[in-house]
Amino acid sequence: MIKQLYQDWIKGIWRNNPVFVQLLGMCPTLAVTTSLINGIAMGCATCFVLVASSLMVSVIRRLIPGEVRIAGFTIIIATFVTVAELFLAANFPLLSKTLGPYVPLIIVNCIILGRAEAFASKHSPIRALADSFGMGVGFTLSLVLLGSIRELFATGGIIGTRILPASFENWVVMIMPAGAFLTLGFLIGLFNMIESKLKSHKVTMSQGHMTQVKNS
Amino acid sequence: MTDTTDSKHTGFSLGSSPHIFSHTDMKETMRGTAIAFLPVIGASIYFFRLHAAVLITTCIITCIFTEALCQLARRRPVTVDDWSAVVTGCSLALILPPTLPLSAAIIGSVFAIVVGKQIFGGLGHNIFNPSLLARAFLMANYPRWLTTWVEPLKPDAVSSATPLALAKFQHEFAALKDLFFGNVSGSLGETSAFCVLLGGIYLFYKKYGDWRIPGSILSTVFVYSGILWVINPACPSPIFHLLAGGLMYGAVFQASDPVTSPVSAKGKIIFGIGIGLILVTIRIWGGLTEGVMYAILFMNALTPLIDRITIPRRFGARQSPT
Amino acid sequence: MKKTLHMVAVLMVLGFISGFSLVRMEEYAAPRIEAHRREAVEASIYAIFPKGKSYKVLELGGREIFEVFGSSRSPIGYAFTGKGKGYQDDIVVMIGLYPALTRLAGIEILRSVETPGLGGEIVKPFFKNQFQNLSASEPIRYIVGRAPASDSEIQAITGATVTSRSLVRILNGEIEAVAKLLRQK
Repeated sequence: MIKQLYQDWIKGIWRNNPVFVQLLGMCPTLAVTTSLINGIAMGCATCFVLVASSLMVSVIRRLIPGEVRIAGFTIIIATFVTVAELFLAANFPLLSKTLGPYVPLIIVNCIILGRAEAFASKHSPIRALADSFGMGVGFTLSLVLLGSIRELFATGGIIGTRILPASFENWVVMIMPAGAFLTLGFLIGLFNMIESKLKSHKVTMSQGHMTQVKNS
Repeated sequence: MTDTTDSKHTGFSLGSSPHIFSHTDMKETMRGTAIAFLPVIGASIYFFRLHAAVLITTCIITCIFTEALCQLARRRPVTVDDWSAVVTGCSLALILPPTLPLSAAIIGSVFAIVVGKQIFGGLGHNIFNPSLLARAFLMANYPRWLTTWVEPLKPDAVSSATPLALAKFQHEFAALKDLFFGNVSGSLGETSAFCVLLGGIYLFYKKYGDWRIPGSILSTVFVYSGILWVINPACPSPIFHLLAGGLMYGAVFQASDPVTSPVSAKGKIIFGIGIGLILVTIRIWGGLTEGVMYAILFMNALTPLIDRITIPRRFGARQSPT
Repeated sequence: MKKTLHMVAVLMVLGFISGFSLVRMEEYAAPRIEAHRREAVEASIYAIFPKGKSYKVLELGGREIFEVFGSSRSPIGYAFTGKGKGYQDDIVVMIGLYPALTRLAGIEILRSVETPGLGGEIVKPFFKNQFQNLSASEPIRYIVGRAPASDSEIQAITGATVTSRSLVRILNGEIEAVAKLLRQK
């Protein structure tokens, strides 16, 4: 049971990473990752909505008739997003202003409806919790990676502290959507390259193992 | 590689070359293009002295290096001897402002080769003109550096506005003679329309490029801006539009790049018209002063669509006997 | 029929729970959000009038004008917001006028999404400080290419003429309207 839960959770981080593998949630990924802090904030907000809505969908999965399930899921997701948005505006006004219209847009983030439909509505709450939490963490990590790279080149540092030498002229393109697309493209390419190297390594390993078994 | 098949004799219609890309053919075209650059390079060195020489050299060397490294990393044969990296570097340097810091020029050259060519699969596979793509990247990255210009012939002294900027924001029009010979501020290669024309004549005479594209661009710009000028004489005249900014240079050297423009003759003309329309619209109504770069890049993106519309689907379709 | 009733009932219950939760959340959040908004406005007012200690809100001609007071009983200036289209999107600016209504006390940019590095520079002190003590009796002009020569001219940002022009246009429009309202008072 624990092993299954662990599998449910870990796949959201690497093998089925929502941003680099499933290419879902592109809108907030590209729009708000102008800095590491923004990445964390959006990631956490999305994670909260993901976990809360997946949990709720899973709990009431036998009560919602199939025909209205999407409508039902959307009501649930929209409610949690609005709660998150109001909470952010009330307690972190600066962050709320920076993230702007992209917080309400979490409602249409494909990851959330996708996981609700594909997993949470078909499995027990505890498994739905593991799955959605994994996706949320994977999403947040991706945003943090993207955000820190963009912030590093756009301001010369991360979280306000300068890292690159003073002679480095800031790359303005990194603040803009164009820079987001470029960075994301390169990261996806890097991801795929690592993934294919790991896969071919696994194949040669297993081939070596098979020859060993044959010889023994 | 020229179109020597007479459709009247064979009954087949044949689009103009290139149809297939091979490195030996490309080498001759590329070297010819590099030679066509010479008058423009000469003008840039005359007007901008050391800035020009240093920038051009830096871009070319960086492009060659980057291409070799990329091809080694991709485990492909290194083909820098096909002169295409030289052409890309030269082409990029000539659309940069003279006072651009070398770090930006190097980053731009790397971008042109890596993102402009190698990522798509190398020569012949890119969608966008690599040097324009790099300039667009530099423009987004270093907006202040890419909008700082100097006066010709005394490039270390005075910073100034380009003729297009002066026309747009202060309604001052430079003398046509200055615009033609190049005694105005601007990027290294765009100032002297005269030298661009010299290079263009060489290019098209040797059939390294198709005259249809620059022809249709310039005609469209002339007609469109002419109409606007007749309606409102406060607008710049069509001749001003033709001679000012990067239009001549872009039309002759960058839009006519066979890799990123349509294959058929009809397609090329549509391509040129599109560029002309977008260009003038940006110059007159847009917030930018110069529209050549984005006009060409935009039409580069539409090229596959234009090809699909203008190329006959069946190979060897017989022409109707007329 | 039973199925339809079931569907309607489920959605109604969900909607009710959702609505109820959101109302409670709004009750919690609304006062805090309003407080933050006030703080932002106040911060900009006191940035323009460093000697300001309090302000009174005047409702004139359908807009909010802040009458700013220092240590004495008479106002040290007036502050009001202006909004208009910039290069990318709307620019919102807080404008300060001295009581004589002939000179600007300064400006603060409340909202700007202009191009970073170009139009985005309007939030930097080097640009904003130009407006301190600028003459307001005639329309402000932005200058390109040479240095400002008169009391009502400011230097546009190089390469960001459209943003500079939009800002100056917003300022002139708002100053004229508010000055008229204040003189009538």
